[in-house]
Amino acid sequence: MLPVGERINYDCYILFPNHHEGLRLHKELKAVGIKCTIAPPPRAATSFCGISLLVAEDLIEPARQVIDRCGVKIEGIARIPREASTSGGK
Amino acid sequence: MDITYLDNAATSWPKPECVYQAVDRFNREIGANPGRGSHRKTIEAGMLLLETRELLARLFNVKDSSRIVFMPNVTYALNLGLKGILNPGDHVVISSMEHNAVARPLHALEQTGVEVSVVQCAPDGSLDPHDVELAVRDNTRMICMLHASNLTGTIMPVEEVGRIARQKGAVFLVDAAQTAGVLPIDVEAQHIDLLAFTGHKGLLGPQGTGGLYIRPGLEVRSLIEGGTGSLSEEVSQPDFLPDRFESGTPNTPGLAGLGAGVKYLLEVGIEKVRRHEQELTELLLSGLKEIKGVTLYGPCDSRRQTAVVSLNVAELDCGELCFMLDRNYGIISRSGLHCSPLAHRTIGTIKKGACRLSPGYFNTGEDIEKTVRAVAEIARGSR
Ligand SMILES: Cc1ncc(COP(=O)(O)O)c(C=O)c1O
Repeated sequence: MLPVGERINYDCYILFPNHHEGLRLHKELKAVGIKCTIAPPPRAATSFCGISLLVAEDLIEPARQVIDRCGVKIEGIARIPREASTSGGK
Repeated sequence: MDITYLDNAATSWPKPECVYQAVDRFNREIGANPGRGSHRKTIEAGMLLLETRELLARLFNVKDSSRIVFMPNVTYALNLGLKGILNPGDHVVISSMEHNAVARPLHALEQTGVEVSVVQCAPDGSLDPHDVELAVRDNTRMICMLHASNLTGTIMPVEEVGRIARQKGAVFLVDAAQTAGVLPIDVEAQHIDLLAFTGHKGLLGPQGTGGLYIRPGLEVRSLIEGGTGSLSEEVSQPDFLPDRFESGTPNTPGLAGLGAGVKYLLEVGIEKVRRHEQELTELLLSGLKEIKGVTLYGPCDSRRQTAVVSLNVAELDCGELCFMLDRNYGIISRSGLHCSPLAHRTIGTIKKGACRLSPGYFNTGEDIEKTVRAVAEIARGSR
Protein backbone atom coordinates (compact mmCIF):
# COMPACT_ATOMS: atom_id res chain seq x y z
CA MET A 1 0.00 0.00 0.00
CA LEU A 2 1.17 3.46 -0.80
CA PRO A 3 1.19 5.98 1.96
CA VAL A 4 -1.75 8.32 1.58
CA GLY A 5 -1.01 11.33 -0.61
CA GLU A 6 2.07 9.83 -2.36
CA ARG A 7 1.91 10.28 -6.10
CA ILE A 8 2.33 7.15 -8.19
CA ASN A 9 4.96 7.53 -10.89
CA TYR A 10 4.64 5.51 -14.03
CA ASP A 11 7.12 4.38 -16.64
CA CYS A 12 5.76 4.28 -20.14
CA TYR A 13 6.91 1.54 -22.50
CA ILE A 14 6.06 2.00 -26.15
CA LEU A 15 5.56 -1.45 -27.65
CA PHE A 16 6.25 -2.43 -31.26
CA PRO A 17 5.49 -5.25 -33.66
CA ASN A 18 9.19 -5.49 -34.59
CA HIS A 19 12.62 -3.93 -34.21
CA HIS A 20 12.23 -1.97 -37.44
CA GLU A 21 9.44 0.19 -36.03
CA GLY A 22 11.06 0.50 -32.61
CA LEU A 23 14.41 1.61 -33.96
CA ARG A 24 12.71 3.96 -36.39
CA LEU A 25 10.86 5.71 -33.59
CA HIS A 26 14.02 5.81 -31.49
CA LYS A 27 15.74 7.65 -34.33
CA GLU A 28 12.83 10.05 -34.84
CA LEU A 29 12.46 10.85 -31.13
CA LYS A 30 16.16 11.50 -30.77
CA ALA A 31 16.04 13.79 -33.79
CA VAL A 32 13.54 16.06 -32.04
CA GLY A 33 15.18 15.77 -28.61
CA ILE A 34 12.63 13.57 -26.83
CA LYS A 35 14.51 11.43 -24.34
CA CYS A 36 13.91 7.70 -24.70
CA THR A 37 15.73 4.48 -23.90
CA ILE A 38 15.66 1.17 -25.72
CA ALA A 39 14.66 -1.49 -23.19
CA PRO A 40 13.25 -5.01 -23.15
CA PRO A 41 9.45 -4.82 -22.96
CA PRO A 42 8.14 -5.20 -19.41
CA ARG A 43 6.92 -8.72 -18.72
CA ALA A 44 3.54 -7.42 -17.65
CA ALA A 45 2.99 -6.15 -21.20
CA THR A 46 2.93 -9.43 -23.14
CA SER A 47 5.91 -9.09 -25.41
CA PHE A 48 5.59 -8.33 -29.12
CA CYS A 49 9.22 -8.13 -30.10
CA GLY A 50 12.48 -7.89 -28.22
CA ILE A 51 12.47 -4.15 -27.64
CA SER A 52 10.36 -1.31 -26.37
CA LEU A 53 11.06 2.37 -25.84
CA LEU A 54 11.03 3.63 -22.29
CA VAL A 55 9.71 7.20 -22.16
CA ALA A 56 8.90 9.36 -19.15
CA GLU A 57 5.19 9.86 -18.59
CA ASP A 58 5.29 13.58 -19.28
CA LEU A 59 6.92 12.99 -22.69
CA ILE A 60 4.32 10.54 -23.92
CA GLU A 61 2.12 13.17 -25.55
CA PRO A 62 4.93 14.72 -27.63
CA ALA A 63 6.07 11.18 -28.46
CA ARG A 64 2.58 10.33 -29.71
CA GLN A 65 2.72 13.29 -32.05
CA VAL A 66 5.95 11.99 -33.54
CA ILE A 67 4.40 8.52 -33.90
CA ASP A 68 1.48 9.99 -35.83
CA ARG A 69 3.60 12.31 -37.95
CA CYS A 70 6.04 9.57 -38.99
CA GLY A 71 3.49 6.78 -39.31
CA VAL A 72 5.41 4.49 -36.95
CA LYS A 73 3.44 1.33 -36.19
CA ILE A 74 3.16 0.63 -32.47
CA GLU A 75 1.38 -2.11 -30.55
CA GLY A 76 0.40 0.10 -27.63
CA ILE A 77 1.84 1.89 -24.63
CA ALA A 78 2.19 0.08 -21.30
CA ARG A 79 2.04 2.20 -18.14
CA ILE A 80 3.88 0.43 -15.36
CA PRO A 81 4.12 1.86 -11.81
CA ARG A 82 7.73 2.80 -11.23
CA GLU A 83 9.60 0.32 -9.00
CA ALA A 84 11.16 3.05 -6.86
CA SER A 85 7.82 4.46 -5.77
CA THR A 86 6.39 1.10 -4.75
CA SER A 87 9.49 -0.47 -3.27
CA GLY A 88 9.44 2.08 -0.49
CA GLY A 89 6.38 0.36 0.93
CA LYS A 90 7.93 -3.11 1.04
CA MET B 1 49.19 -7.33 -66.68
CA ASP B 2 46.74 -4.57 -65.73
CA ILE B 3 43.20 -5.87 -65.40
CA THR B 4 40.41 -3.93 -67.07
CA TYR B 5 37.14 -5.07 -65.57
CA LEU B 6 34.25 -4.69 -68.03
CA ASP B 7 31.72 -7.09 -66.55
CA ASN B 8 29.76 -4.69 -64.38
CA ALA B 9 26.45 -5.90 -65.80
CA ALA B 10 27.16 -9.22 -64.07
CA THR B 11 28.41 -7.66 -60.86
CA SER B 12 30.08 -4.32 -60.21
CA TRP B 13 33.75 -4.25 -59.27
CA PRO B 14 35.56 -2.65 -57.59
CA LYS B 15 33.24 -1.35 -54.86
CA PRO B 16 33.73 2.04 -53.21
CA GLU B 17 36.14 1.79 -50.27
CA CYS B 18 33.33 2.58 -47.80
CA VAL B 19 31.55 -0.65 -48.81
CA TYR B 20 34.52 -2.83 -47.85
CA GLN B 21 34.85 -0.90 -44.61
CA ALA B 22 31.17 -1.28 -43.70
CA VAL B 23 31.28 -5.06 -44.21
CA ASP B 24 34.50 -5.35 -42.24
CA ARG B 25 33.27 -3.14 -39.43
CA PHE B 26 30.12 -5.20 -39.04
CA ASN B 27 32.02 -8.48 -38.97
CA ARG B 28 34.70 -7.27 -36.57
CA GLU B 29 32.86 -4.94 -34.25
CA ILE B 30 29.16 -5.83 -34.26
CA GLY B 31 28.58 -9.34 -35.54
CA ALA B 32 25.20 -9.79 -33.83
CA ASN B 33 21.89 -11.04 -35.14
CA PRO B 34 19.53 -8.09 -35.88
CA GLY B 35 15.95 -7.94 -34.65
CA ARG B 36 16.41 -10.54 -31.93
CA GLY B 37 16.30 -9.84 -28.19
CA SER B 38 17.34 -6.45 -26.87
CA HIS B 39 21.08 -6.37 -26.19
CA ARG B 40 23.20 -3.51 -27.46
CA LYS B 41 24.65 -5.44 -30.37
CA THR B 42 21.33 -6.57 -31.79
CA ILE B 43 20.27 -2.92 -31.65
CA GLU B 44 23.38 -1.84 -33.56
CA ALA B 45 22.82 -4.55 -36.16
CA GLY B 46 19.15 -3.59 -36.41
CA MET B 47 20.11 0.06 -36.87
CA LEU B 48 22.25 -0.89 -39.86
CA LEU B 49 19.33 -2.66 -41.52
CA LEU B 50 17.06 0.30 -40.80
CA GLU B 51 19.57 2.68 -42.33
CA THR B 52 20.02 0.59 -45.48
CA ARG B 53 16.25 0.29 -45.87
CA GLU B 54 15.78 4.05 -45.45
CA LEU B 55 18.55 4.86 -47.93
CA LEU B 56 16.95 2.57 -50.53
CA ALA B 57 13.57 4.13 -49.79
CA ARG B 58 15.07 7.54 -50.55
CA LEU B 59 16.64 6.29 -53.78
CA PHE B 60 13.39 4.74 -55.06
CA ASN B 61 10.98 7.33 -53.58
CA VAL B 62 9.36 4.79 -51.27
CA LYS B 63 7.45 6.51 -48.45
CA ASP B 64 7.38 3.65 -45.94
CA SER B 65 10.73 1.85 -45.78
CA SER B 66 9.15 -1.21 -44.12
CA ARG B 67 7.72 -2.03 -47.56
CA ILE B 68 11.25 -2.91 -48.74
CA VAL B 69 12.07 -6.50 -47.88
CA PHE B 70 15.60 -7.84 -48.12
CA MET B 71 16.40 -10.96 -50.10
CA PRO B 72 19.62 -12.62 -51.27
CA ASN B 73 19.35 -11.17 -54.81
CA VAL B 74 16.90 -10.01 -57.47
CA THR B 75 16.19 -13.60 -58.55
CA TYR B 76 14.66 -14.36 -55.14
CA ALA B 77 12.79 -11.05 -55.23
CA LEU B 78 11.33 -11.83 -58.66
CA ASN B 79 10.32 -15.33 -57.53
CA LEU B 80 8.48 -13.80 -54.57
CA GLY B 81 6.81 -11.17 -56.75
CA LEU B 82 5.65 -13.76 -59.29
CA LYS B 83 4.82 -16.76 -57.10
CA GLY B 84 3.44 -14.65 -54.28
CA ILE B 85 0.84 -13.06 -56.55
CA LEU B 86 -0.03 -15.30 -59.49
CA ASN B 87 -2.66 -18.03 -59.26
CA PRO B 88 -3.79 -20.68 -61.76
CA GLY B 89 -5.91 -18.99 -64.42
CA ASP B 90 -4.09 -15.66 -64.07
CA HIS B 91 -2.45 -14.13 -67.12
CA VAL B 92 0.88 -12.31 -67.12
CA VAL B 93 2.50 -10.17 -69.83
CA ILE B 94 6.30 -10.01 -70.18
CA SER B 95 8.71 -8.69 -72.82
CA SER B 96 10.87 -10.81 -75.09
CA MET B 97 14.00 -9.38 -73.44
CA GLU B 98 13.48 -10.95 -70.00
CA HIS B 99 16.21 -12.69 -68.04
CA ASN B 100 15.84 -16.32 -66.92
CA ALA B 101 15.17 -14.91 -63.45
CA VAL B 102 11.70 -14.12 -64.85
CA ALA B 103 11.38 -16.68 -67.66
CA ARG B 104 12.12 -19.74 -65.52
CA PRO B 105 9.80 -19.03 -62.57
CA LEU B 106 7.09 -18.27 -65.12
CA HIS B 107 7.78 -21.50 -66.96
CA ALA B 108 7.31 -23.32 -63.65
CA LEU B 109 4.10 -21.37 -62.98
CA GLU B 110 2.78 -22.24 -66.45
CA GLN B 111 2.74 -25.90 -65.33
CA THR B 112 0.24 -24.86 -62.64
CA GLY B 113 -2.10 -23.06 -65.05
CA VAL B 114 -0.72 -19.51 -65.16
CA GLU B 115 -0.89 -18.10 -68.70
CA VAL B 116 2.04 -16.11 -70.12
CA SER B 117 2.16 -13.75 -73.13
CA VAL B 118 5.52 -12.59 -74.44
CA VAL B 119 5.48 -9.21 -76.19
CA GLN B 120 7.95 -9.22 -79.06
CA CYS B 121 10.60 -6.49 -78.91
CA ALA B 122 12.45 -5.05 -81.92
CA PRO B 123 15.87 -6.52 -82.84
CA ASP B 124 17.55 -3.69 -80.91
CA GLY B 125 15.63 -4.80 -77.81
CA SER B 126 13.22 -1.87 -77.78
CA LEU B 127 9.59 -2.30 -76.81
CA ASP B 128 6.51 -0.49 -78.08
CA PRO B 129 4.21 0.11 -75.08
CA HIS B 130 1.23 -0.15 -77.41
CA ASP B 131 2.07 -3.83 -77.97
CA VAL B 132 1.87 -4.37 -74.22
CA GLU B 133 -1.56 -2.79 -74.18
CA LEU B 134 -2.70 -5.11 -76.97
CA ALA B 135 -1.51 -8.16 -75.03
CA VAL B 136 -3.57 -7.36 -71.94
CA ARG B 137 -6.66 -9.56 -71.45
CA ASP B 138 -9.53 -9.69 -68.96
CA ASN B 139 -7.59 -12.09 -66.73
CA THR B 140 -4.28 -10.20 -66.89
CA ARG B 141 -3.11 -10.05 -63.30
CA MET B 142 0.39 -8.74 -63.91
CA ILE B 143 2.78 -7.02 -66.30
CA CYS B 144 6.39 -7.92 -65.56
CA MET B 145 9.28 -6.25 -67.32
CA LEU B 146 12.94 -5.43 -66.92
CA HIS B 147 13.92 -1.77 -66.73
CA ALA B 148 16.93 -2.25 -69.01
CA SER B 149 18.28 -5.29 -70.83
CA ASN B 150 21.37 -7.05 -69.51
CA LEU B 151 22.23 -8.01 -73.10
CA THR B 152 21.79 -4.81 -75.10
CA GLY B 153 21.34 -2.19 -72.37
CA THR B 154 18.09 -1.12 -74.07
CA ILE B 155 16.11 1.09 -71.69
CA MET B 156 12.45 0.11 -71.50
CA PRO B 157 9.51 2.56 -71.39
CA VAL B 158 8.79 1.81 -67.75
CA GLU B 159 6.64 4.81 -67.02
CA GLU B 160 4.38 4.27 -70.04
CA VAL B 161 3.96 0.57 -69.31
CA GLY B 162 3.33 1.42 -65.66
CA ARG B 163 0.53 3.71 -66.74
CA ILE B 164 -0.99 0.95 -68.87
CA ALA B 165 -0.79 -1.49 -65.94
CA ARG B 166 -2.49 1.00 -63.64
CA GLN B 167 -5.26 1.67 -66.19
CA LYS B 168 -5.87 -2.04 -66.73
CA GLY B 169 -5.77 -2.90 -63.03
CA ALA B 170 -2.72 -5.17 -63.43
CA VAL B 171 0.12 -5.43 -60.93
CA PHE B 172 3.33 -3.93 -62.36
CA LEU B 173 6.51 -5.83 -61.43
CA VAL B 174 9.81 -4.29 -62.54
CA ASP B 175 13.16 -6.10 -62.66
CA ALA B 176 15.59 -3.27 -61.90
CA ALA B 177 18.69 -5.49 -61.82
CA GLN B 178 20.45 -3.40 -64.46
CA THR B 179 19.21 0.05 -63.50
CA ALA B 180 19.03 0.46 -59.72
CA GLY B 181 21.73 3.00 -58.89
CA VAL B 182 22.21 3.97 -62.54
CA LEU B 183 18.88 5.33 -63.81
CA PRO B 184 16.27 7.27 -61.83
CA ILE B 185 13.64 5.00 -60.28
CA ASP B 186 10.52 6.47 -58.69
CA VAL B 187 7.93 3.88 -57.69
CA GLU B 188 5.21 6.53 -57.52
CA ALA B 189 5.84 8.36 -60.80
CA GLN B 190 6.49 5.10 -62.67
CA HIS B 191 3.44 3.32 -61.16
CA ILE B 192 5.56 0.45 -59.89
CA ASP B 193 3.76 -1.98 -57.56
CA LEU B 194 6.67 -4.38 -57.09
CA LEU B 195 10.28 -3.35 -57.61
CA ALA B 196 12.86 -6.14 -57.60
CA PHE B 197 16.48 -5.04 -57.22
CA THR B 198 19.84 -6.64 -56.67
CA GLY B 199 22.48 -5.12 -54.41
CA HIS B 200 25.68 -6.17 -56.12
CA LYS B 201 25.43 -4.39 -59.48
CA GLY B 202 24.67 -0.66 -59.84
CA LEU B 203 23.94 -0.27 -56.13
CA LEU B 204 27.62 -1.10 -55.54
CA GLY B 205 26.95 -3.44 -52.61
CA PRO B 206 28.28 -6.93 -51.94
CA GLN B 207 26.94 -10.11 -53.55
CA GLY B 208 24.14 -11.85 -51.67
CA THR B 209 22.05 -8.71 -51.24
CA GLY B 210 18.88 -7.49 -52.92
CA GLY B 211 15.22 -7.05 -52.22
CA LEU B 212 11.67 -6.33 -53.22
CA TYR B 213 9.58 -3.22 -52.71
CA ILE B 214 5.89 -4.07 -52.21
CA ARG B 215 3.30 -1.33 -52.66
CA PRO B 216 1.15 -0.77 -49.53
CA GLY B 217 -2.10 -2.69 -49.76
CA LEU B 218 -0.80 -5.29 -52.22
CA GLU B 219 -1.33 -8.80 -50.87
CA VAL B 220 1.66 -11.10 -51.52
CA ARG B 221 1.91 -14.71 -50.29
CA SER B 222 5.04 -15.52 -48.32
CA LEU B 223 7.10 -18.36 -49.75
CA ILE B 224 9.30 -18.88 -46.69
CA GLU B 225 8.15 -18.97 -43.07
CA GLY B 226 10.24 -19.01 -39.91
CA GLY B 227 11.73 -17.02 -37.07
CA THR B 228 11.56 -13.24 -37.27
CA GLY B 229 12.23 -12.16 -33.68
CA SER B 230 8.67 -10.81 -33.55
CA LEU B 231 5.39 -12.40 -32.34
CA SER B 232 7.46 -15.40 -31.28
CA GLU B 233 4.65 -16.84 -29.17
CA GLU B 234 2.52 -17.35 -32.28
CA VAL B 235 2.93 -20.22 -34.69
CA SER B 236 1.63 -18.25 -37.67
CA GLN B 237 3.88 -15.96 -39.70
CA PRO B 238 3.56 -12.22 -38.84
CA ASP B 239 1.44 -10.42 -41.44
CA PHE B 240 3.34 -7.11 -41.19
CA LEU B 241 6.36 -6.07 -43.24
CA PRO B 242 9.25 -6.58 -43.49
CA ASP B 243 8.92 -9.55 -41.07
CA ARG B 244 6.40 -11.39 -43.19
CA PHE B 245 9.04 -11.94 -45.88
CA GLU B 246 12.24 -11.90 -43.81
CA SER B 247 12.49 -15.15 -41.90
CA GLY B 248 15.86 -16.36 -40.70
CA THR B 249 19.09 -14.48 -40.08
CA PRO B 250 19.72 -11.97 -42.87
CA ASN B 251 23.00 -11.21 -44.62
CA THR B 252 23.69 -8.35 -42.21
CA PRO B 253 27.33 -7.74 -43.23
CA GLY B 254 26.25 -7.66 -46.87
CA LEU B 255 23.35 -5.31 -46.13
CA ALA B 256 25.66 -3.03 -44.14
CA GLY B 257 27.84 -2.90 -47.26
CA LEU B 258 24.81 -2.28 -49.46
CA GLY B 259 23.84 0.66 -47.24
CA ALA B 260 27.32 2.10 -47.67
CA GLY B 261 27.06 1.64 -51.46
CA VAL B 262 23.69 3.42 -51.67
CA LYS B 263 24.92 6.21 -49.41
CA TYR B 264 27.91 6.65 -51.70
CA LEU B 265 25.59 6.84 -54.73
CA LEU B 266 23.31 9.39 -53.07
CA GLU B 267 26.33 11.52 -52.22
CA VAL B 268 27.83 11.33 -55.71
CA GLY B 269 24.39 11.63 -57.34
CA ILE B 270 23.12 9.04 -59.79
CA GLU B 271 22.94 11.70 -62.53
CA LYS B 272 26.72 11.92 -62.32
CA VAL B 273 27.08 8.14 -62.40
CA ARG B 274 24.79 7.97 -65.42
CA ARG B 275 26.62 10.79 -67.21
CA HIS B 276 30.00 9.09 -66.76
CA GLU B 277 28.70 5.70 -67.85
CA GLN B 278 27.00 7.30 -70.83
CA GLU B 279 30.26 8.93 -71.90
CA LEU B 280 32.08 5.61 -71.64
CA THR B 281 29.33 3.89 -73.64
CA GLU B 282 29.52 6.57 -76.32
CA LEU B 283 33.29 6.17 -76.55
CA LEU B 284 32.99 2.40 -76.76
CA LEU B 285 30.25 2.48 -79.39
CA SER B 286 31.97 5.04 -81.59
CA GLY B 287 35.28 3.15 -81.40
CA LEU B 288 33.79 -0.27 -82.12
CA LYS B 289 31.65 1.05 -85.01
CA GLU B 290 34.84 1.88 -86.91
CA ILE B 291 36.24 -1.64 -86.74
CA LYS B 292 35.72 -3.79 -89.81
CA GLY B 293 34.09 -7.12 -88.99
CA VAL B 294 32.46 -5.98 -85.75
CA THR B 295 28.70 -6.47 -85.38
CA LEU B 296 27.11 -4.41 -82.62
CA TYR B 297 23.74 -5.21 -81.05
CA GLY B 298 21.20 -3.01 -79.30
CA PRO B 299 20.26 0.65 -79.85
CA CYS B 300 23.89 1.78 -80.43
CA ASP B 301 22.87 5.09 -78.89
CA SER B 302 24.15 5.89 -75.40
CA ARG B 303 21.01 7.88 -74.59
CA ARG B 304 18.79 4.85 -75.15
CA GLN B 305 20.87 2.27 -73.34
CA THR B 306 22.76 1.58 -70.15
CA ALA B 307 26.52 0.90 -70.18
CA VAL B 308 26.14 -2.49 -71.85
CA VAL B 309 27.48 -3.20 -75.33
CA SER B 310 27.25 -6.64 -76.94
CA LEU B 311 29.16 -7.57 -80.07
CA ASN B 312 30.56 -10.26 -82.28
CA VAL B 313 33.69 -10.14 -84.43
CA ALA B 314 33.27 -11.68 -87.89
CA GLU B 315 33.02 -15.45 -87.59
CA LEU B 316 35.01 -15.61 -84.37
CA ASP B 317 33.34 -17.61 -81.61
CA CYS B 318 32.20 -15.21 -78.86
CA GLY B 319 33.80 -17.38 -76.19
CA GLU B 320 37.09 -17.25 -78.06
CA LEU B 321 36.81 -13.45 -78.31
CA CYS B 322 36.30 -13.10 -74.55
CA PHE B 323 39.11 -15.55 -73.92
CA MET B 324 41.51 -13.57 -76.13
CA LEU B 325 40.51 -10.27 -74.50
CA ASP B 326 41.18 -11.80 -71.10
CA ARG B 327 44.36 -13.74 -71.87
CA ASN B 328 46.10 -11.28 -74.17
CA TYR B 329 44.88 -7.94 -72.83
CA GLY B 330 43.57 -8.50 -69.30
CA ILE B 331 40.12 -7.29 -70.34
CA ILE B 332 37.28 -8.99 -68.49
CA SER B 333 34.10 -9.43 -70.53
CA ARG B 334 31.35 -12.01 -70.71
CA SER B 335 30.43 -14.40 -73.51
CA GLY B 336 27.56 -16.80 -74.10
CA LEU B 337 23.86 -16.32 -73.54
CA HIS B 338 23.96 -14.21 -70.37
CA CYS B 339 21.08 -16.20 -68.79
CA SER B 340 18.87 -14.56 -71.40
CA PRO B 341 17.88 -16.93 -74.23
CA LEU B 342 14.69 -14.94 -74.86
CA ALA B 343 16.71 -11.79 -75.43
CA HIS B 344 19.27 -13.54 -77.64
CA ARG B 345 16.42 -14.91 -79.75
CA THR B 346 15.04 -11.37 -80.05
CA ILE B 347 18.29 -9.88 -81.31
CA GLY B 348 19.13 -12.89 -83.49
CA THR B 349 22.10 -14.33 -81.59
CA ILE B 350 20.56 -17.42 -79.99
CA LYS B 351 22.90 -19.74 -81.94
CA LYS B 352 26.19 -17.90 -81.63
CA GLY B 353 25.77 -15.85 -78.47
CA ALA B 354 27.70 -12.59 -78.06
CA CYS B 355 30.52 -10.96 -76.17
CA ARG B 356 29.30 -8.36 -73.68
CA LEU B 357 31.34 -5.36 -72.52
CA SER B 358 29.88 -3.50 -69.56
CA PRO B 359 31.82 -0.57 -68.08
CA GLY B 360 31.00 0.81 -64.66
CA TYR B 361 31.43 4.02 -62.71
CA PHE B 362 35.05 3.24 -61.88
CA ASN B 363 36.18 2.64 -65.46
CA THR B 364 38.02 5.36 -67.34
CA GLY B 365 38.23 6.59 -70.91
CA GLU B 366 41.66 4.90 -71.15
CA ASP B 367 40.05 1.55 -70.27
CA ILE B 368 37.69 2.00 -73.18
CA GLU B 369 40.42 3.10 -75.62
CA LYS B 370 42.50 0.07 -74.63
CA THR B 371 39.48 -2.17 -75.25
CA VAL B 372 38.73 -0.67 -78.65
CA ARG B 373 42.38 -1.17 -79.66
CA ALA B 374 42.28 -4.78 -78.45
CA VAL B 375 39.10 -5.59 -80.38
CA ALA B 376 40.59 -3.93 -83.48
CA GLU B 377 43.71 -6.12 -83.23
CA ILE B 378 41.67 -9.27 -82.74
CA ALA B 379 39.42 -8.34 -85.67
CA ARG B 380 42.46 -7.76 -87.90
CA GLY B 381 43.93 -11.12 -86.88
CA SER B 382 40.73 -13.01 -87.56
CA ARG B 383 40.30 -11.75 -91.07
C1 LIG C 1 17.91 -8.17 -65.96
C2 LIG C 1 18.42 -9.12 -64.92
N1 LIG C 1 17.57 -9.79 -64.15
C3 LIG C 1 17.99 -10.65 -63.19
C4 LIG C 1 19.34 -10.85 -62.96
C5 LIG C 1 19.75 -11.80 -61.88
O1 LIG C 1 20.48 -11.14 -60.88
P1 LIG C 1 20.93 -11.89 -59.55
O2 LIG C 1 21.90 -12.94 -60.00
O3 LIG C 1 21.56 -10.85 -58.71
O4 LIG C 1 19.73 -12.50 -58.92
C6 LIG C 1 20.27 -10.16 -63.75
C7 LIG C 1 21.73 -10.32 -63.56
O5 LIG C 1 22.33 -11.30 -63.83
C8 LIG C 1 19.81 -9.27 -64.74
O6 LIG C 1 20.66 -8.59 -65.49
